[in-house]
Amino acid sequence: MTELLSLTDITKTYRAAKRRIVTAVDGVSLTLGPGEIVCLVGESGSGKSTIGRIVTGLTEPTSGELRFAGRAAGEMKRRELRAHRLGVQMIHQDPYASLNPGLTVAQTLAAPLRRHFGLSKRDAHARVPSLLEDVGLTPPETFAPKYPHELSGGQRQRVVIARSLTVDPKVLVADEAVSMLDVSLRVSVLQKLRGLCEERQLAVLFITHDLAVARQFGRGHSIAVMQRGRLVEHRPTGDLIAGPEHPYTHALLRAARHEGLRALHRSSHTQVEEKHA
Amino acid sequence: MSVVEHLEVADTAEPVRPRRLTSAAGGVRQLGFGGVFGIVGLLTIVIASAVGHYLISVPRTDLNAILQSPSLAHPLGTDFTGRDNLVLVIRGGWDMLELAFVAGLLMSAIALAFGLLGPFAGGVVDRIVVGVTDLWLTVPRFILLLVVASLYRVSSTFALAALIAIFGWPYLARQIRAQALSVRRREHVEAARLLQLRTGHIVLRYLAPAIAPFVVISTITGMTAAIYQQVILAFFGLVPLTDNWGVLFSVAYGQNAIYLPAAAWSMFAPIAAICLLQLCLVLTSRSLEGLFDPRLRARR
Amino acid sequence: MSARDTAKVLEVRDLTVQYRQEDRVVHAVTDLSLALGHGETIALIGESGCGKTTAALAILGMLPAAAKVVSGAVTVTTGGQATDLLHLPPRELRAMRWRHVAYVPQGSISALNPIQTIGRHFVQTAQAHDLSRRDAESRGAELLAAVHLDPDRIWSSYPHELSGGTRQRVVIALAMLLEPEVIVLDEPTTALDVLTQEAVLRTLLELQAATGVSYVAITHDLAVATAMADEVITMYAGRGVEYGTAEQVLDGPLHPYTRGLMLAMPAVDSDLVAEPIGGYPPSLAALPPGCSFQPRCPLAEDRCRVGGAPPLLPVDDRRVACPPSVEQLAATRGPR
Repeated sequence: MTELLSLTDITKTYRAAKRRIVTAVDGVSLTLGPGEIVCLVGESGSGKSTIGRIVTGLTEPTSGELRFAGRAAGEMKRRELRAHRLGVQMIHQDPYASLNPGLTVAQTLAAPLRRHFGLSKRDAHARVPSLLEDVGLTPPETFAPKYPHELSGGQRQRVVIARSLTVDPKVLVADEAVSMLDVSLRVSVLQKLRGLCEERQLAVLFITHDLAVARQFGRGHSIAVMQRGRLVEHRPTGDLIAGPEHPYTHALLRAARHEGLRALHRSSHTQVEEKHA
Repeated sequence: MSVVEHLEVADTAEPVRPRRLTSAAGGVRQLGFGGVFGIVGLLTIVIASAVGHYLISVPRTDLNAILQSPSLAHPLGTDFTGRDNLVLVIRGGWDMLELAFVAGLLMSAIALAFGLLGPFAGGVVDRIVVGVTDLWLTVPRFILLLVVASLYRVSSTFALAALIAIFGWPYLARQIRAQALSVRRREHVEAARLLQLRTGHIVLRYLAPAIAPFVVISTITGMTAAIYQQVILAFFGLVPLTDNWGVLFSVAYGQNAIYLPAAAWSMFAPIAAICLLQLCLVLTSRSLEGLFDPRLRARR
Repeated sequence: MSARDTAKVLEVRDLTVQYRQEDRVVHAVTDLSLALGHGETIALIGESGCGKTTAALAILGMLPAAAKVVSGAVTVTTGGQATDLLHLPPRELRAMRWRHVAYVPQGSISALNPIQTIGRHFVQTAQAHDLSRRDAESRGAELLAAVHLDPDRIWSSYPHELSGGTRQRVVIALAMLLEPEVIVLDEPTTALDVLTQEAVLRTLLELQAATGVSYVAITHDLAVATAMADEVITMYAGRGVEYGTAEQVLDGPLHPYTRGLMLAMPAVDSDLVAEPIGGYPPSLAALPPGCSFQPRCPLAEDRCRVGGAPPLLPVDDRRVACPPSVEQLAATRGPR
């Protein structure tokens, strides 16, 4: 399988207040092939979002190598690099903040079509309904003329997904893409996203702090766990959940199961009862 | 606090109803009482001043009617040469308005240029721009303005407005720069950059709408500042002698109007006019905030 | 269960709250009832738009002016005296608040004043309720230690200098300042990492064991309910649709919405693929006829689509507002 994207020993440091050096990412290596999903799991400060920003080109790594289809980013000419970068799109966490509040859904989706495919305004707008249907926003006529503040969170996120697909990307980076959505709606957005990615054989870097969501989305693929900038474990989803090797992964799983808490609750309840008996 | 904030916006099939500014009634409600007062007041002042400037001739001096209190013939009294105060006030507005608008607009234009150039060009250019802005900020600009105005006789209102604008842009430029930098980092702008949309498109559709309300409101604030500066300059006699309100005020003051009750009218009339103009400008700018942000619209 | 027989510290009876807007009525909460005993936790489970925040505000007496309490009572019993919070004059309400019913709002950063140190928050809150500065300082230090924070470091810190989990614990400590009988927790673990969530929940449980405080936990996260709740109410479209103990509701949900919610939440351990609930929750201003859930309900029958909302039917010692599911359960149990 040819690799679409590979990160080799990527490190990102920056200078914080009082001349401290903060290491956000420390020697991370990853590869993504077509149709491959990697769930990047970690807590805040683990560096997972920084990896997402490096992959999309919003941040430059301090050291390490980023390769697109085997070619190192540093070796490419500007135009070639830009073309590759266009093939990597991001879905942000906050669906409201990622949409231009002054543009309708149709305008938001038409803009990249006009820019990259030379379509006229009319032609671009003609393509919008099918894009909306692809992400499950039906009937498209009701959604196309709406502004972001007239949509709900789940609907907005679907528009964001549709927008990212307009440029035929090869890689999608989803940074906490469902964290701000209602629980029961997360599943449908996740299912839709996964379906689209499988259909188009997209590589997905799915960033989340929620192991349960990672397990769901990364079924049949792999989970990579990050702790304080380092990649501590990267194994197939099922194996990692069934038998975590690294102690940090172990701790995350335990917390996700809320094992300790139920017991604590029961014991504290007996305490209270005894106190007031 | 509006009700909408306390309701959870559900992920419903029928989300928040669109409130577009389709009706005049909706628009008027949007502006609020203050906004309507401000805009109507501004329009009134502009129309009255235009009428005064183009249609009403210079009031005659009448040495028999010096420093009179208000009467039927002279509703606001007369000044030290017997001219009718009301006519003077109506005629004095045009010049003030010209000054305010020209100064405000020029100031914003220069501030926009300097404020946006830095974040866009980046690198050395950015540093130069920031340096120039900061330097200009630390110089005691108003004193310098006084000096320059006294050294080079300002011959027209336009020249005076330009002068005020040149001395007034750095503060606004800094604010615009800060806004531009923050907007660039917003997620929808990042998304636009990732999609590699054209820079012009991003500036026009992403940056401009985000900073436009700010610029409009700052322009109005600039106008109020220009008016005050002009009045002070008039006191120093550095203003071209057209009978605008600032000049009327300083001349009346110079004629010791504060000591003579009847004469006080010739001083208070222009002051009241200036205050009314400032009030209308401020009220208008405050109410415009809601107009610009569609999110704020829904909340009202 | 002896706890249930003791006097209730908080009782809500048939609470109905509406917002009257110019062209429509929003039925935020309809006929909600609950009873909370000493040292117990009740979880209100639901997603956005189900009315749980309005319910919480009603309990705190913090409903906005636009809200109209159409009926119902919120009674807090402290020191043997029962007080109806909904009809108290503002001054007395303010005295009740924080002293007897406290609040941990959603999103700790917005609950704290960014230009004040944490210590100042404690002092201000205390002084607003006639406590001396010295008392505030000693009690504050005590509470910060109880939530596993270093009082010296935190007292002089500003909110933005602290991590999300630390801030959440600070807000909890603030809520405990006057030893209230009831604390309303609004989404106590949102925006927190999973390890931090565990730590915060652990802290809440420890505090409860030590002081006997009662919690009303508003959450969409079933995990929070699993960890903390004694009783659970599932809310949908402003109504409580399922009532029961945590074990009953979370291990064996009866109401189709509760079941749908469980199935829609991916679990770390489960092999099952999460399934979404089709459709969208209704707008509280435009509720469907009959049962509010019927457009999305797999068990919906004709009788569910007409008339008013279905009544709460007793099943063992729980209650479910869904006749079809109750009958289904009775059928599987067989004739007696």
